[in-house]
Amino acid sequence: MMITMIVIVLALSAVGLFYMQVRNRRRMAHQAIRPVDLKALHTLLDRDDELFLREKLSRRGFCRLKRQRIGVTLRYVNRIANNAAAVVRLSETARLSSDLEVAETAAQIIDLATQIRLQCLLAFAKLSVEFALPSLQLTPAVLAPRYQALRENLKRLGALQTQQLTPSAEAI
Amino acid sequence: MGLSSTITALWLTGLVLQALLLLVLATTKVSVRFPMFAAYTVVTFLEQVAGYSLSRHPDAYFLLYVAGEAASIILGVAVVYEIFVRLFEHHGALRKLASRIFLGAVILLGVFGAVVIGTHAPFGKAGIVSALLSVEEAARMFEVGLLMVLFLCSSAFGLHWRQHVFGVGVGLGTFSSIKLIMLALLPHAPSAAGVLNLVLLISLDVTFLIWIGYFLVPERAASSAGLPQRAQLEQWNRAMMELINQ
Repeated sequence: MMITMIVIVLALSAVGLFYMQVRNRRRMAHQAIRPVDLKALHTLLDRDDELFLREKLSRRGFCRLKRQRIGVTLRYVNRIANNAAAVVRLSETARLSSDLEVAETAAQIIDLATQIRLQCLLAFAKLSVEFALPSLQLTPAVLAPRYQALRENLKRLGALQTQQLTPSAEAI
Repeated sequence: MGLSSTITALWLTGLVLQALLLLVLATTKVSVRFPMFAAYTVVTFLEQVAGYSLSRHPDAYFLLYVAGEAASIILGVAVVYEIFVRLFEHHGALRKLASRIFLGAVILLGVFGAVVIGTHAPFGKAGIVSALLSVEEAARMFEVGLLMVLFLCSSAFGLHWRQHVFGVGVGLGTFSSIKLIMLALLPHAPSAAGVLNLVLLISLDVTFLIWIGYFLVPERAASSAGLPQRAQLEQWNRAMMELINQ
Protein backbone atom coordinates (compact mmCIF):
# COMPACT_ATOMS: atom_id res chain seq x y z
CA MET A 1 0.00 0.00 0.00
CA MET A 2 2.89 2.31 0.84
CA ILE A 3 4.41 1.84 -2.61
CA THR A 4 1.00 2.47 -4.20
CA MET A 5 0.73 5.75 -2.31
CA ILE A 6 4.22 6.77 -3.43
CA VAL A 7 3.36 5.93 -7.05
CA ILE A 8 0.10 7.89 -6.89
CA VAL A 9 1.84 10.89 -5.29
CA LEU A 10 4.50 10.74 -8.02
CA ALA A 11 1.86 10.62 -10.76
CA LEU A 12 -0.14 13.48 -9.24
CA SER A 13 3.05 15.54 -8.84
CA ALA A 14 3.80 14.87 -12.49
CA VAL A 15 0.36 16.14 -13.56
CA GLY A 16 0.90 19.24 -11.40
CA LEU A 17 4.36 19.76 -12.88
CA PHE A 18 3.08 19.50 -16.46
CA TYR A 19 0.30 21.97 -15.69
CA MET A 20 2.81 24.40 -14.16
CA GLN A 21 5.06 24.03 -17.20
CA VAL A 22 2.19 24.95 -19.54
CA ARG A 23 1.45 28.03 -17.42
CA ASN A 24 5.12 29.01 -17.15
CA ARG A 25 5.60 28.64 -20.90
CA ARG A 26 2.80 31.13 -21.52
CA ARG A 27 4.25 33.50 -18.94
CA MET A 28 7.76 33.11 -20.32
CA ALA A 29 6.55 34.04 -23.81
CA HIS A 30 5.77 37.52 -22.50
CA GLN A 31 8.77 37.81 -20.20
CA ALA A 32 11.02 40.69 -21.10
CA ILE A 33 14.63 41.40 -20.22
CA ARG A 34 14.80 43.40 -17.00
CA PRO A 35 17.66 45.63 -15.96
CA VAL A 36 20.31 44.60 -13.46
CA ASP A 37 22.50 47.10 -11.66
CA LEU A 38 25.85 45.38 -11.76
CA LYS A 39 27.56 48.04 -9.67
CA ALA A 40 25.12 47.48 -6.85
CA LEU A 41 25.50 43.75 -7.22
CA HIS A 42 29.27 44.12 -6.93
CA THR A 43 28.79 46.11 -3.74
CA LEU A 44 26.56 43.42 -2.33
CA LEU A 45 29.15 40.77 -3.15
CA ASP A 46 31.97 42.78 -1.57
CA ARG A 47 33.51 40.77 1.23
CA ASP A 48 35.36 43.77 2.69
CA ASP A 49 32.00 45.34 3.48
CA GLU A 50 30.96 42.14 5.13
CA LEU A 51 34.14 41.98 7.21
CA PHE A 52 33.60 45.60 8.26
CA LEU A 53 30.02 44.84 9.31
CA ARG A 54 31.12 41.73 11.16
CA GLU A 55 33.61 43.80 13.19
CA LYS A 56 31.24 46.68 13.92
CA LEU A 57 27.99 44.86 14.65
CA SER A 58 26.92 42.42 17.30
CA ARG A 59 26.70 38.81 16.15
CA ARG A 60 22.91 38.95 16.12
CA GLY A 61 22.86 42.28 14.29
CA PHE A 62 25.37 41.04 11.75
CA CYS A 63 23.35 37.86 11.06
CA ARG A 64 20.17 39.85 10.56
CA LEU A 65 21.84 42.33 8.24
CA LYS A 66 23.60 39.66 6.28
CA ARG A 67 20.35 37.81 5.74
CA GLN A 68 18.85 41.02 4.42
CA ARG A 69 21.81 41.48 2.06
CA ILE A 70 21.40 37.90 0.91
CA GLY A 71 17.69 38.49 0.31
CA VAL A 72 18.49 41.38 -2.01
CA THR A 73 21.33 39.49 -3.68
CA LEU A 74 18.92 36.63 -4.32
CA ARG A 75 16.62 39.03 -6.13
CA TYR A 76 19.51 40.10 -8.35
CA VAL A 77 20.48 36.53 -9.01
CA ASN A 78 16.87 35.67 -9.78
CA ARG A 79 16.70 38.56 -12.21
CA ILE A 80 19.93 37.54 -13.92
CA ALA A 81 18.62 33.95 -14.16
CA ASN A 82 15.35 35.14 -15.70
CA ASN A 83 17.22 37.44 -18.09
CA ALA A 84 19.50 34.59 -19.14
CA ALA A 85 16.45 32.40 -19.87
CA ALA A 86 14.85 35.24 -21.85
CA VAL A 87 18.08 35.74 -23.80
CA VAL A 88 18.05 32.04 -24.74
CA ARG A 89 14.45 32.33 -25.94
CA LEU A 90 14.95 35.59 -27.84
CA SER A 91 18.21 34.45 -29.45
CA GLU A 92 16.61 31.28 -30.86
CA THR A 93 15.46 33.17 -33.97
CA ALA A 94 18.94 34.59 -34.55
CA ARG A 95 20.44 31.12 -34.18
CA LEU A 96 18.39 29.99 -37.18
CA SER A 97 19.58 32.93 -39.30
CA SER A 98 20.91 32.19 -42.79
CA ASP A 99 23.85 34.49 -42.02
CA LEU A 100 26.45 32.11 -40.58
CA GLU A 101 28.15 34.75 -38.48
CA VAL A 102 24.86 35.85 -36.89
CA ALA A 103 23.88 32.24 -36.25
CA GLU A 104 27.27 31.43 -34.73
CA THR A 105 27.24 34.46 -32.46
CA ALA A 106 23.68 33.63 -31.38
CA ALA A 107 24.78 30.06 -30.59
CA GLN A 108 27.65 31.42 -28.47
CA ILE A 109 25.25 33.73 -26.64
CA ILE A 110 22.84 30.86 -25.98
CA ASP A 111 25.71 28.74 -24.63
CA LEU A 112 26.88 31.57 -22.40
CA ALA A 113 23.37 32.32 -21.19
CA THR A 114 22.84 28.68 -20.23
CA GLN A 115 26.18 28.70 -18.41
CA ILE A 116 25.05 31.79 -16.51
CA ARG A 117 21.83 30.01 -15.68
CA LEU A 118 23.87 27.17 -14.19
CA GLN A 119 25.97 29.67 -12.24
CA CYS A 120 22.74 31.14 -10.94
CA LEU A 121 21.66 27.72 -9.71
CA LEU A 122 24.94 27.41 -7.89
CA ALA A 123 24.52 30.92 -6.52
CA PHE A 124 21.03 30.09 -5.24
CA ALA A 125 22.39 27.03 -3.47
CA LYS A 126 25.34 28.89 -1.94
CA LEU A 127 23.28 31.91 -0.89
CA SER A 128 20.71 29.60 0.69
CA VAL A 129 23.46 27.97 2.76
CA GLU A 130 24.78 31.41 3.75
CA PHE A 131 21.27 32.51 4.68
CA ALA A 132 21.00 29.51 7.01
CA LEU A 133 24.54 30.00 8.35
CA PRO A 134 25.42 33.71 8.05
CA SER A 135 28.95 33.20 9.43
CA LEU A 136 29.86 31.30 6.23
CA GLN A 137 31.30 33.10 3.19
CA LEU A 138 30.22 31.27 0.05
CA THR A 139 29.02 34.05 -2.25
CA PRO A 140 29.89 33.19 -5.85
CA ALA A 141 32.24 35.76 -7.29
CA VAL A 142 32.25 34.36 -10.83
CA LEU A 143 28.69 35.36 -11.64
CA ALA A 144 29.20 39.04 -12.39
CA PRO A 145 32.11 38.60 -14.88
CA ARG A 146 30.03 36.01 -16.80
CA TYR A 147 27.16 38.46 -17.02
CA GLN A 148 29.51 41.17 -18.28
CA ALA A 149 30.71 38.79 -21.00
CA LEU A 150 27.11 38.14 -22.03
CA ARG A 151 26.54 41.87 -22.38
CA GLU A 152 29.59 42.15 -24.62
CA ASN A 153 28.42 39.27 -26.82
CA LEU A 154 24.94 40.74 -27.13
CA LYS A 155 26.45 44.03 -28.25
CA ARG A 156 28.37 42.12 -30.91
CA LEU A 157 25.28 40.27 -32.09
CA GLY A 158 23.27 43.49 -32.17
CA ALA A 159 25.91 45.03 -34.41
CA LEU A 160 25.92 42.01 -36.73
CA GLN A 161 22.20 41.82 -37.29
CA THR A 162 20.48 44.15 -39.68
CA GLN A 163 17.09 43.25 -38.24
CA GLN A 164 17.36 43.44 -34.51
CA LEU A 165 15.80 40.22 -33.29
CA THR A 166 17.85 39.92 -30.14
CA PRO A 167 17.63 41.96 -26.96
CA SER A 168 19.74 45.07 -26.81
CA ALA A 169 22.76 44.93 -24.54
CA GLU A 170 21.75 48.22 -22.94
CA ALA A 171 18.58 46.55 -21.69
CA ILE A 172 20.52 44.29 -19.37
CA MET B 1 -26.30 6.89 -21.26
CA GLY B 2 -24.80 3.98 -19.32
CA LEU B 3 -21.17 3.55 -18.39
CA SER B 4 -20.60 0.95 -21.08
CA SER B 5 -22.04 3.08 -23.89
CA THR B 6 -20.13 6.14 -22.62
CA ILE B 7 -16.90 4.13 -22.74
CA THR B 8 -17.70 2.98 -26.29
CA ALA B 9 -18.47 6.56 -27.34
CA LEU B 10 -15.20 7.81 -25.84
CA TRP B 11 -13.28 4.99 -27.49
CA LEU B 12 -14.74 5.85 -30.89
CA THR B 13 -14.04 9.55 -30.30
CA GLY B 14 -10.46 8.60 -29.50
CA LEU B 15 -10.16 6.67 -32.74
CA VAL B 16 -11.42 9.64 -34.75
CA LEU B 17 -9.07 12.01 -32.90
CA GLN B 18 -6.16 9.65 -33.41
CA ALA B 19 -6.90 9.41 -37.13
CA LEU B 20 -6.96 13.21 -37.20
CA LEU B 21 -3.64 13.29 -35.35
CA LEU B 22 -2.09 10.97 -37.93
CA LEU B 23 -3.36 13.27 -40.66
CA VAL B 24 -1.83 16.28 -38.88
CA LEU B 25 1.46 14.41 -38.46
CA ALA B 26 1.54 13.58 -42.16
CA THR B 27 0.63 17.08 -43.36
CA THR B 28 2.77 19.13 -40.97
CA LYS B 29 5.89 16.98 -41.45
CA VAL B 30 6.21 16.59 -37.67
CA SER B 31 6.73 12.87 -38.30
CA VAL B 32 10.06 13.65 -40.00
CA ARG B 33 11.38 15.42 -36.92
CA PHE B 34 9.76 12.98 -34.48
CA PRO B 35 9.95 9.53 -36.07
CA MET B 36 9.55 7.73 -32.74
CA PHE B 37 6.49 9.76 -31.86
CA ALA B 38 5.03 9.04 -35.31
CA ALA B 39 5.70 5.31 -34.81
CA TYR B 40 4.13 5.52 -31.34
CA THR B 41 1.00 7.14 -32.77
CA VAL B 42 0.69 4.63 -35.62
CA VAL B 43 1.15 1.63 -33.32
CA THR B 44 -1.35 2.88 -30.72
CA PHE B 45 -3.85 3.71 -33.49
CA LEU B 46 -3.56 0.19 -34.94
CA GLU B 47 -3.88 -1.25 -31.42
CA GLN B 48 -7.05 0.79 -30.82
CA VAL B 49 -8.60 -0.21 -34.15
CA ALA B 50 -7.74 -3.88 -33.65
CA GLY B 51 -8.88 -3.67 -30.02
CA TYR B 52 -12.26 -2.29 -31.06
CA SER B 53 -12.74 -5.06 -33.63
CA LEU B 54 -11.67 -7.77 -31.16
CA SER B 55 -13.63 -6.41 -28.18
CA ARG B 56 -16.04 -9.39 -28.36
CA HIS B 57 -13.21 -11.96 -28.35
CA PRO B 58 -11.61 -11.83 -24.88
CA ASP B 59 -8.70 -14.21 -25.53
CA ALA B 60 -7.60 -12.51 -28.72
CA TYR B 61 -8.16 -9.10 -27.10
CA PHE B 62 -5.95 -10.05 -24.16
CA LEU B 63 -3.08 -11.06 -26.45
CA LEU B 64 -3.51 -7.87 -28.43
CA TYR B 65 -3.56 -5.81 -25.21
CA VAL B 66 -0.29 -7.37 -23.99
CA ALA B 67 1.47 -6.89 -27.33
CA GLY B 68 0.04 -3.39 -27.79
CA GLU B 69 0.96 -2.20 -24.30
CA ALA B 70 4.49 -3.62 -24.60
CA ALA B 71 4.98 -1.79 -27.91
CA SER B 72 3.39 1.37 -26.50
CA ILE B 73 5.70 1.37 -23.46
CA ILE B 74 8.87 0.72 -25.47
CA LEU B 75 7.95 3.40 -28.00
CA GLY B 76 6.87 5.74 -25.18
CA VAL B 77 10.34 5.54 -23.62
CA ALA B 78 11.83 6.04 -27.10
CA VAL B 79 9.69 9.18 -27.46
CA VAL B 80 11.03 10.46 -24.12
CA TYR B 81 14.56 9.94 -25.42
CA GLU B 82 13.59 11.72 -28.64
CA ILE B 83 12.36 14.68 -26.59
CA PHE B 84 15.66 14.67 -24.68
CA VAL B 85 17.65 14.72 -27.94
CA ARG B 86 15.54 17.52 -29.45
CA LEU B 87 15.65 19.58 -26.27
CA PHE B 88 19.42 19.53 -25.97
CA GLU B 89 20.38 19.38 -29.66
CA HIS B 90 21.56 23.01 -29.70
CA HIS B 91 22.93 23.07 -26.16
CA GLY B 92 26.27 21.32 -26.44
CA ALA B 93 27.50 22.80 -23.16
CA LEU B 94 24.59 21.31 -21.24
CA ARG B 95 24.25 18.00 -23.05
CA LYS B 96 26.94 16.22 -21.04
CA LEU B 97 25.54 17.31 -17.69
CA ALA B 98 21.97 16.58 -18.82
CA SER B 99 23.02 13.12 -20.06
CA ARG B 100 24.48 12.30 -16.65
CA ILE B 101 21.32 13.47 -14.86
CA PHE B 102 19.20 11.50 -17.34
CA LEU B 103 21.30 8.36 -16.84
CA GLY B 104 21.09 8.75 -13.06
CA ALA B 105 17.31 9.05 -13.32
CA VAL B 106 17.17 5.95 -15.54
CA ILE B 107 19.07 3.91 -12.93
CA LEU B 108 17.05 5.28 -10.01
CA LEU B 109 13.69 4.77 -11.71
CA GLY B 110 14.78 1.30 -12.86
CA VAL B 111 15.51 0.33 -9.26
CA PHE B 112 12.22 1.81 -8.05
CA GLY B 113 10.39 -0.02 -10.85
CA ALA B 114 11.93 -3.29 -9.69
CA VAL B 115 10.78 -2.50 -6.13
CA VAL B 116 7.23 -1.87 -7.41
CA ILE B 117 7.19 -5.23 -9.21
CA GLY B 118 8.75 -6.91 -6.17
CA THR B 119 6.05 -5.62 -3.79
CA HIS B 120 3.30 -7.09 -5.99
CA ALA B 121 4.96 -10.56 -6.20
CA PRO B 122 4.11 -13.44 -5.78
CA PHE B 123 1.29 -13.10 -8.27
CA GLY B 124 -0.77 -16.20 -7.39
CA LYS B 125 -2.94 -18.43 -9.57
CA ALA B 126 -4.47 -15.91 -11.93
CA GLY B 127 -1.21 -14.08 -11.69
CA ILE B 128 -0.41 -13.37 -15.30
CA VAL B 129 -2.77 -10.38 -15.46
CA SER B 130 -1.57 -8.88 -12.19
CA ALA B 131 2.05 -9.55 -13.15
CA LEU B 132 1.51 -7.73 -16.43
CA LEU B 133 -0.20 -4.83 -14.66
CA SER B 134 2.73 -4.59 -12.21
CA VAL B 135 5.28 -4.53 -15.02
CA GLU B 136 3.18 -1.92 -16.82
CA GLU B 137 2.92 0.16 -13.65
CA ALA B 138 6.70 0.07 -13.21
CA ALA B 139 7.25 0.94 -16.87
CA ARG B 140 4.79 3.85 -16.81
CA MET B 141 6.41 5.14 -13.64
CA PHE B 142 9.76 4.99 -15.42
CA GLU B 143 8.32 6.98 -18.34
CA VAL B 144 6.63 9.58 -16.13
CA GLY B 145 9.73 9.93 -13.95
CA LEU B 146 11.97 10.55 -16.95
CA LEU B 147 9.59 13.16 -18.32
CA MET B 148 9.54 14.88 -14.92
CA VAL B 149 13.35 14.92 -14.87
CA LEU B 150 13.37 16.45 -18.36
CA PHE B 151 10.90 19.19 -17.43
CA LEU B 152 12.69 19.94 -14.14
CA CYS B 153 16.10 20.07 -15.88
CA SER B 154 14.83 22.37 -18.59
CA SER B 155 13.32 24.69 -15.96
CA ALA B 156 16.55 24.74 -13.98
CA PHE B 157 18.66 25.37 -17.10
CA GLY B 158 16.21 27.96 -18.43
CA LEU B 159 15.79 26.13 -21.73
CA HIS B 160 13.14 27.13 -24.19
CA TRP B 161 10.94 24.28 -25.46
CA ARG B 162 9.95 24.49 -29.08
CA GLN B 163 6.19 24.23 -29.60
CA HIS B 164 6.13 20.66 -31.01
CA VAL B 165 8.59 19.18 -28.48
CA PHE B 166 6.66 20.76 -25.65
CA GLY B 167 3.34 19.42 -26.97
CA VAL B 168 4.72 15.89 -27.32
CA GLY B 169 6.15 16.00 -23.78
CA VAL B 170 3.09 17.44 -22.07
CA GLY B 171 0.67 15.14 -23.91
CA LEU B 172 2.66 11.98 -23.26
CA GLY B 173 3.33 12.99 -19.65
CA THR B 174 -0.32 13.73 -18.89
CA PHE B 175 -1.59 10.48 -20.38
CA SER B 176 1.13 8.33 -18.78
CA SER B 177 0.51 9.94 -15.37
CA ILE B 178 -3.24 9.25 -15.51
CA LYS B 179 -2.55 5.70 -16.68
CA LEU B 180 -0.07 5.27 -13.83
CA ILE B 181 -2.69 6.37 -11.28
CA MET B 182 -5.16 3.94 -12.83
CA LEU B 183 -2.67 1.06 -12.73
CA ALA B 184 -1.79 1.80 -9.11
CA LEU B 185 -5.44 1.96 -8.03
CA LEU B 186 -6.82 -0.96 -10.02
CA PRO B 187 -5.52 -3.83 -7.78
CA HIS B 188 -6.97 -2.08 -4.70
CA ALA B 189 -10.32 -1.20 -6.27
CA PRO B 190 -11.22 -3.80 -8.91
CA SER B 191 -14.90 -2.88 -8.65
CA ALA B 192 -14.07 0.63 -9.90
CA ALA B 193 -12.46 -0.71 -13.08
CA GLY B 194 -15.23 0.75 -15.25
CA VAL B 195 -14.89 4.26 -13.82
CA LEU B 196 -11.10 4.10 -14.02
CA ASN B 197 -11.36 3.00 -17.65
CA LEU B 198 -13.67 5.94 -18.31
CA VAL B 199 -11.17 8.38 -16.77
CA LEU B 200 -8.37 6.83 -18.80
CA LEU B 201 -10.29 7.17 -22.06
CA ILE B 202 -11.12 10.80 -21.29
CA SER B 203 -7.44 11.50 -20.60
CA LEU B 204 -6.49 9.72 -23.84
CA ASP B 205 -8.90 11.87 -25.85
CA VAL B 206 -7.62 15.00 -24.11
CA THR B 207 -4.06 13.93 -24.93
CA PHE B 208 -4.93 13.62 -28.62
CA LEU B 209 -6.43 17.11 -28.49
CA ILE B 210 -3.26 18.44 -26.80
CA TRP B 211 -1.06 16.95 -29.52
CA ILE B 212 -3.29 18.15 -32.37
CA GLY B 213 -3.45 21.61 -30.82
CA TYR B 214 0.32 21.95 -30.32
CA PHE B 215 1.05 20.68 -33.84
CA LEU B 216 -1.48 22.93 -35.56
CA VAL B 217 -0.96 26.18 -33.67
CA PRO B 218 2.09 27.92 -35.16
CA GLU B 219 4.89 28.86 -32.81
CA ARG B 220 5.19 32.54 -32.06
CA ALA B 221 8.50 33.85 -33.31
CA ALA B 222 10.45 35.85 -30.75
CA SER B 223 10.72 39.45 -31.80
CA SER B 224 12.14 42.66 -30.49
CA ALA B 225 8.56 43.89 -29.96
CA GLY B 226 8.53 42.31 -26.51
CA LEU B 227 11.61 44.20 -25.41
CA PRO B 228 11.10 46.92 -22.81
CA GLN B 229 11.31 50.64 -23.57
CA ARG B 230 14.20 52.62 -22.10
CA ALA B 231 11.87 54.62 -19.80
CA GLN B 232 10.42 51.42 -18.48
CA LEU B 233 13.89 50.04 -17.91
CA GLU B 234 14.84 53.15 -15.95
CA GLN B 235 11.74 52.78 -13.79
CA TRP B 236 12.63 49.22 -12.97
CA ASN B 237 16.18 50.24 -12.33
CA ARG B 238 15.09 52.96 -9.89
CA ALA B 239 12.80 50.52 -8.13
CA MET B 240 15.67 48.12 -7.73
CA MET B 241 17.92 50.87 -6.36
CA GLU B 242 15.23 51.82 -3.86
CA LEU B 243 15.00 48.21 -2.83
CA ILE B 244 18.74 48.09 -2.22
CA ASN B 245 18.82 51.36 -0.30
CA GLN B 246 15.84 50.68 1.96
